[in-house]
Formats: sequence, structure tokens, C-alpha cells
Amino acid sequence: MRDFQVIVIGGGHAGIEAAAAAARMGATTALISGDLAKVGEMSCNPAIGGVGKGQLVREIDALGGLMGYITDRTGIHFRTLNKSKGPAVWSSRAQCDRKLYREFAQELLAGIEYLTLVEGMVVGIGCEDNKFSHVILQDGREISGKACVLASGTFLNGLIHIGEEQTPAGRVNEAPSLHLSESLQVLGFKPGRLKTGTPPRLEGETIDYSKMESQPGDDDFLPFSLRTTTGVTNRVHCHITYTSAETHRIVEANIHRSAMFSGNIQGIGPRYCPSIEDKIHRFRDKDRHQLFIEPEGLDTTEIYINGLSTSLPADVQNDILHSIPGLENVVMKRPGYAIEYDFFPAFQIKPTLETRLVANLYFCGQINGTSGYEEAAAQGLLAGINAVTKLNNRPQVVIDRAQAYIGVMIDDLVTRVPMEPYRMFTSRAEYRLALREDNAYDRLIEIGRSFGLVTDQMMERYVSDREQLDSEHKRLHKTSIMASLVDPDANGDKLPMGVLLKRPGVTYRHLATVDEECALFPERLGERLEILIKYAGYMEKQLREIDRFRQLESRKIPDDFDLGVLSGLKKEAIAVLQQYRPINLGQASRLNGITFSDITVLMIHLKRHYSSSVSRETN
Amino acid sequence: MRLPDSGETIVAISTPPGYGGIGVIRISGNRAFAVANELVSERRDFGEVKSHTIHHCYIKGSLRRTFTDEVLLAVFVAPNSYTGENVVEISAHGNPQILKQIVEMTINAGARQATPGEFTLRAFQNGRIDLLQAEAVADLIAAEGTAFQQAAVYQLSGRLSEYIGNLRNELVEIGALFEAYTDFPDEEIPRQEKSELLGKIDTITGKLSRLAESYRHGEVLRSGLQVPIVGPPNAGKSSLFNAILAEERAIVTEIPGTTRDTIAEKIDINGIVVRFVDTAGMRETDDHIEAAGVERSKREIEAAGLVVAVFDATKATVTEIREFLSKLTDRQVILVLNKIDLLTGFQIADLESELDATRPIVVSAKELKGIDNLLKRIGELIVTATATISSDNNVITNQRHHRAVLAALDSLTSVRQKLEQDESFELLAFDLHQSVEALEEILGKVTNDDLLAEIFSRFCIGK
Repeated sequence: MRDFQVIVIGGGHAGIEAAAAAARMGATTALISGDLAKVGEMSCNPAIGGVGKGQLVREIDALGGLMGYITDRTGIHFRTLNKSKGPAVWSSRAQCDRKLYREFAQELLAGIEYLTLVEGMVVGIGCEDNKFSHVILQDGREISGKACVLASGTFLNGLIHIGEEQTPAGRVNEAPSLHLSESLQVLGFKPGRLKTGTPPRLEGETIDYSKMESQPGDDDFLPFSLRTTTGVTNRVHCHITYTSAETHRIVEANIHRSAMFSGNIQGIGPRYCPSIEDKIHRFRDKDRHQLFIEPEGLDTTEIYINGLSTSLPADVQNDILHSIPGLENVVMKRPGYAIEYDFFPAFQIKPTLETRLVANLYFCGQINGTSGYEEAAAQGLLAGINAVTKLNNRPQVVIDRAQAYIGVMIDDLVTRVPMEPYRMFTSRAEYRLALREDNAYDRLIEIGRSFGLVTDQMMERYVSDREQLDSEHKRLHKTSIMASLVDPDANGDKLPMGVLLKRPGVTYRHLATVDEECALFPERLGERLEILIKYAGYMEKQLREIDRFRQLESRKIPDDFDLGVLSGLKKEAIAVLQQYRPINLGQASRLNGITFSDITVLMIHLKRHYSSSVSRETN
Repeated sequence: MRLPDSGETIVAISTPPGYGGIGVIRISGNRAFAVANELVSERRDFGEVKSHTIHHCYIKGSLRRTFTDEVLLAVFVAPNSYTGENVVEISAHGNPQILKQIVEMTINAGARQATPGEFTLRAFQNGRIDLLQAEAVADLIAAEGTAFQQAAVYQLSGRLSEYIGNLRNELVEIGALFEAYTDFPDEEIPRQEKSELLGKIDTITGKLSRLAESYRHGEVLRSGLQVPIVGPPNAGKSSLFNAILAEERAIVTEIPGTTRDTIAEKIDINGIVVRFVDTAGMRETDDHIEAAGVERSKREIEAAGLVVAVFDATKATVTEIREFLSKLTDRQVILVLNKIDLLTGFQIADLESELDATRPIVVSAKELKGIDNLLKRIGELIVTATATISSDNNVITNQRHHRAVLAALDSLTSVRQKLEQDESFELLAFDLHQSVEALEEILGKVTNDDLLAEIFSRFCIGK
């Protein structure tokens, strides 16, 4: 008898989604964390969402995850980014209260039946016959389980750099997990190394906000979660300031003292969130860089300065801060730092997130090379779901690139080794116009529902929204109004509102000013309807592209298909295919070093494979 | 349509059917050498010999100590062969019976009869050539005019692939910028960057337009130029037609193996196949087959870009000629004044000066005078028309490519329009992506069974 069915290692954003999903699906689950008080901690900026990431949070919510709901409840500043662009790239973002977030996450976990929280540092993974069996804790305890989700975050061989100083640690003042990485390597996993950074933390009382631009939250923000029925509340403003000529001078003068530039860090840093020394060094022509002043919570005066990641020594960081408008007299509470950590390139896992080497062991979050809470949470949720479906002998969930950002992310991870921490962007999604925040539920809620992760209340709300949208959609196409009422360029002709809504500049809000029923229709649904109608033409084209994409995706490469003996393939191609073991022809075609002709050869071999296995069966 | 199995060793006669000086049999596949070993009278192991070597041997006969033929056998070791596999080419005597016997022996030894284009399909599958090049092989085999051959050879060399590939890469680069503006929410595109982008798009649009345009010439290269000879009754259309052919026989070599029909004839002028149509030969007929032919010719004349208009120089008036010509708009017309043998030099000069603007060519079909001038004029027109081609050699000769280039252009036009109107970047990116995909389709990056089967079915057996 095993202690638990599922063991989740790590209490970060991946870990809590995995543990909550597994336990809510009915599996006895243990969440093991080095410090239970830190479960749900936002180790970097307490912000959720952003471009590409907001989409992930909605998808997590549609699958029945927790992140969106916790954010709605603990957020203090909500904004939709990219609002000047099209709805496909509108991205929700929230600044949260770090403490509230952690506490509410812990409260939610405490209320889940079948979930046990265990405090301890995991130092080893045990397996029998290449199948997960137990974990070993630092104090010698062993906990056995049938499946394991490893979500250990930055704790794997973490090394913190502040200027010339180096300290082994997971986060500041927390011990790193040194042995777990070694234990995985003993099992045969191949590690890589990545780097990410954080900016310094400031004492808010010492900031002169009068020298900065104020950035209020959006009043009409649509909550992240369908569970949130009340709306969200903006409680604080964020602020914007800029680096100065003096800042750039200080950075240039001290750049040799940065861990980034002294060669101390072997890992590769993220391109999209570069350190300030990196930005100033790389973009010499830009005379200033934007900085966001973001509060970390309601009952703390601690401030996060977004855009100022650095690994310069603490005294230089102090000088830099004082050169920034509004921060002339600021007190630095903690210096920023860079952290290096091990990851395990994801060609070692399947698109279900289960490792190829050890059955029933799942990897998610930073261990797979991603950065960001949302990326981690999405993987954690899927790993939790798949761990339980595997134990129940149900088919594993694989989400494809045309279905969700989650699918895009996992496919990217398993088809290439990241050179920098993987962060979600809308440009990673080929079918971006179809993968929007507003239709996340249409895309995914049935999956979440099938595992019992979507509550009845959420489902009812979804169905009711759907019905209202459908009937209003029909009504708009049946009801005509005078075109000139909403379109100043139009003449007095009467046209259906559905047709008028297609015109640039005409919005549902316009219709609501002239049509009573539109005025009574819920605003959040009106906006969704507007998107549906305005995007209809693009969607049609995009859906055709998706059909074509699925042609190759549907050509499965069976597990027992021997890639090593295929005639007509170059040795290099065979090596790539064997390393990544794509699950279908589409995935194979996305591998580096695989050409179109390789795919043709594979196609022919697969046809033969299938026809011979059919004839074997009939014999 | 299904693609044939790529694992087997295949064989086919690679020279045209019929009797010839030599006939070549090609064998390709893993077992090519083993199969060849079985054919020859002595014990040989072609698996052991050097690549690109030629061996003198005898092919076994049906009885002991008899031979089917004395041959030269060339050995190519993978991957340095046409298909990228092990290849044996047997040059036998060009007797169809002998060649058939040898092929049967290879099949008995384990090879399979190749399907049309299968050798090239394998070259493609083994990464020796890309799709564009594979299609060029088919074109090269079918090529009649030397200019078309040139275009096919150019395409085969991979340089057209490179050209289109570069255009694709330039588009991808622009796309990356759109993506950056989409993913960095607070960035606005600076005006200067926008005008630079518009400029880049215009350059690519220009190149794509020229490619699309080249298809018209490409069509000419591929199918030849249709030149109807038109004119009023008794202007001497048929005698001009015959005179051209007579002249052509005298100065240009005849294209061998073409079927001669009574109303149309092909000749090669400056590398282009020109097909003259004698419209006088097109009369009402009760014969169904002939009627169908006449119908087809009529349509071709409608579509012809170049027309030779013949008039009887002794009868036609300037007004009559001008009126006739005014009906032939939208196309090049070469005005020919026939029967000058019946006029004095003074009269000819008079007519010429009156019709100077139309640059008439004076001929006597009867005495074969001036026909060389007519052919020279046609040659000049061809040179002008194909000048754009020879300048950068990027000609599209294939309908599939033409469609794709037009699709790419269409999307790119939409990108430009949206960029000008400051529409949102994700929509620009969407259209741009469609443009990129269209170009990738030409390069064969879009995987599709049916497309492949269609393309390779155009080949003849043995290639």
C-alpha cells in the first residue's frame, strides 16, 4: 500500500495547480514543500498575466485551475494590455498583494479533500523498473506514491549572484535543493542551465511619486475567472518613470562588476526581460528605458521596480536607483540579483509532461525551462490531470497548438531546447486569432469539465453566457436600424445591426446607445459578441489553416515505431527523431534538422507500418 | 493517388521507346548492386567496386553459355547518384526486345518496375533535390524550345528556389517586426520605421509581380507562341504559311518528331517554339474531329498575343488595312504585304511610306522574298518579350507556382493596405503569414500527399 496516489514536489504555482487538480480528481495527494508557509509565494513580481500570459490564465481557468480565481480575489491593480490593438492580443494583467495571494492559495488548498500538505526537502526520487515509486526527504523519511509531479522551480542547484558575490540558494534566504538535481541525473536525465534575474525592492515611503506618471487600473476589467461573479477592485495605482543619462553612466562605469559581464554566470538569460546592464549595453542608442513602479501589497510599503533586473553589486544598485526621477532619496530594501539554476531540456518528456525515462513521473514549470508563474501553473495543471488519468488508465490529455496557448507552449518545449527561459508571447501562436482570452472557455471548458475540475456553478454560467450570446447574435442579424445612427459615414439606409457591427469604428456600445435591448444586454457579453462578429472573416481563414495543420498532426507516430531503421532517412535526421520522439508527423516537421523530404519518407514508412499492422491483425 | 513504396529496388528503361543506338536501363535502391550481380555472366560484385566506374560485361542468356547482350554497366554508390540511392545504369544495344529481356531479368532478381517519375521522386525523398527542382526535371524532359530548356535548367540548379526562398525570408523578417510590436504593448511604430517597412514591402511586391508576370512568358516558353496568319480572302495566307515553312526548312533545323497537321506548324525562333496557324485552312467541315480541331484553333487565335496580318499589296487599300488592323487590338500585329512580285519598286516604296507607322513587311510568298525579314521581326519581338526573363532568369513556367505567387501577392497587398491604415499588427501578421505560406508551397514546404502524387505522375517512366 502506497502512502499517496500522487506526490507533488514543490508549492509554487505549478505545484499548487498540480496538487489541487490531482486531489480534486479524487486521487490521494501529497504536496511536499520545504516551507509550508511559503506555499503560493510569488517569488518575483507579484503580478499575474501580461501579453500572452493573460491568455494562459484564462485557459487555466477554463480547465478548472486556481490561478485566475486567486488573482481576482487578491489583485489590487487590474489592466488590459494591448487594448489599442485587436482583441486577439488583448491581454489581462493584475498586480496582486503578495501576502494575500499566498494566504488565499493556502486557504484554497486547505479546503481540498484528499490533499495533504507535507513539509520537507525532497533530495531524491526513487523508482522501480523505470517507474516512479517514492521520494526521499532530507531527514531520511521516504514517502511512497504511484505518480509524482516534480515542480521544484528555482530550487534546483540555485546559485544567486549579486555583483561579485555568489550564494547557493533557491530564493533569497531559502536553501537550495542541491541533491534533487543530482538524483535526477543519476536516473539518467540530462541537465542544462538557465539564468533569470530580479530587480531591487524599494521602500515605498521614500518614493516621490509627483515626478512620475500615474497609471490607474481599468474600471471595466473583466475578471480572470468565471468563478468570480462580483467583479474586481482596483485599490492602488502603479507609476511609470524612466532611467536617466546618469543611470546609463553609472551602469557603463560599473558594467565589469556585473555577474552578467564578468563571466560568472554560465546560464543564458532571458531576452525578453533583460537586466538593466544588458539593456543599456545592447541598446546604446536609446537614451532612456521605461520603468514600472509596482506595489507588492496593501499592508506593505515594499515596491517592485519592473524593468530594473540587475546583478550589479548592491552599492552600484543604490547609485542607479538614486539617479532615477522620483527615486532620488529612495531606500533600497533588498538588492536585485541574478539566479542560475538547472533545468532538464524537455525532449526528455512527452507532450503529456510525463518523462520518457521514468514512467508516472511528470515534470512541470521551471524544470522544463520555462519562466513565469502562468507558464508554470498551466503545466502544473496538465501534469496533475495526466498523473491521475494515467493511474486511472484513461487517455492522457495532449493539447495541440491550434487549441490553446498551453498546447503551443508544451509543443515548443518538447520540440526544441530553449536557449533562454521560455516565456509565453502571442507571437509563439500561429493560430493567435483563434486563441483569444474571450473564447478560452469555448476551447477548453469541456476538457476541464470532463475531469470534474470545472464546478457546476462555473458550467452553468458558461452555458447561460453561451445561450445569451447565441440568441443576441441571431437578433442582431435580424434587427435593422438606420445605419447613420452608429456610422457617421453611412446614409439613411436600414441595415441589420450584425452587418453594421462589422464596420470599423462601430462597436456594441454604439448599438447600445440606439437600441434598447442592446442597452440591457450584459456589457461583457456585448464585447464578446462584437469580437465574434468583427473577427468572423479572419476566423474562417484561420480555421482553414487549422484544418491543414491538423492533417499532419493526425498522423500519429506510434510508440513502437522504430525510427532507427528507416531507409531513405539521413543519419542526422534519424538522430533528431530519436532524441525528440515526435508523437505525430506535424511535430516531427517542426524539429530542427528535419526537412520536408524527411517527412515524406516518414509518411511512406508510416503508411507501410499501418498497413502491415492491419494485415497482421486480420491474419 | 498513392505514393509508391520507397523501400524496394526499382528498374526501368530510361531511353525513349523504339530502336536506338543504345538503350539505358536504370536500377536504383538498396539492392541495386545485388540485382546487377545476378544479371552478368561472370561472378562480379558491384557492391565492392568504386563509385562512378564503368564496367564492361555480358548479360546472361536464357541458356548456359549464351549472352543476351554485351553492355557497359555504370556504378553509382549512395548517396552520390541521381536518386541518392545505389544506382546501376546499364547501357545496352538499343533493341527494345533486348532491353525488355534485361528488365525482366532484374525483376526476377528482386527489382520492381518503376512508376513514372519514381527515380526523381526518390531523389526528392532523399533530399537530393527540392520540389521546384523535381518539377524542373519533368519540364526538362518535355522541353521543346531551347529557351524553355534553359528556364528548366535554371530551376533545376536550385537558383529559382533560392530566389523565392530569399523573398520568403524577407517577408519573415518583416513579420518578426509585426510580432515585436504585438508583444510589446506600449510600443508605437515610429513613422520612419513605417515608411521603411512600406518601402520594403513595395520592393518585395515588385519582385513578386515580376515573377507573376514572367509566367506569361513562361507559358510562352513552355507551350510556345501561337501565331495565326490572318487576312482577307485571297491575300495569300496559305502561300505565306507554306513559304514560312519552306524558308524555315532552309534556314532553321526542323524540330524532329512533331506531328504535322495541315493547318499548323511549329518552328524554333530564338529558342521559342512558334506555331504558325493557317487560318485559311480552317473552314466549315462535317468531320467531327476536324471540326473540333478548328474550334480549338479559333479559340487559340482569340487568345493569341501575336498575329500576322496578310494583305494583297496589289489590291488592298490603306483604309481597308487600317480598318482591319483596328479590330486586332490588345495584341501585337505584324503587317505583311504580299504579292510584291507583281509591283514595281516605286509602288512598293509608296505603300511602305504610307503604312510607315505600322512597319509593314513586304514579301512575295510565291518567290520566297522577304520571308527572312518576317521571321527576323518575330525573333525581335520574342527577344523583347523575353528580355525581362533573361535579365534575372527567374521565370515561372508552372501553373501551380503562378497560382501561389498570385496568392502571395494578394496577401501582401492586403498587408500594405492595413499598414498604411494603421490597422492592428496581429492582423497584418496574419496576412503576412498567408503570403509566406504561399511561397513555401512553391518550395514544397507544405506537406501534402496529393500534391506530391500529382507532381510526380507527370514524369515518364524511367525518370
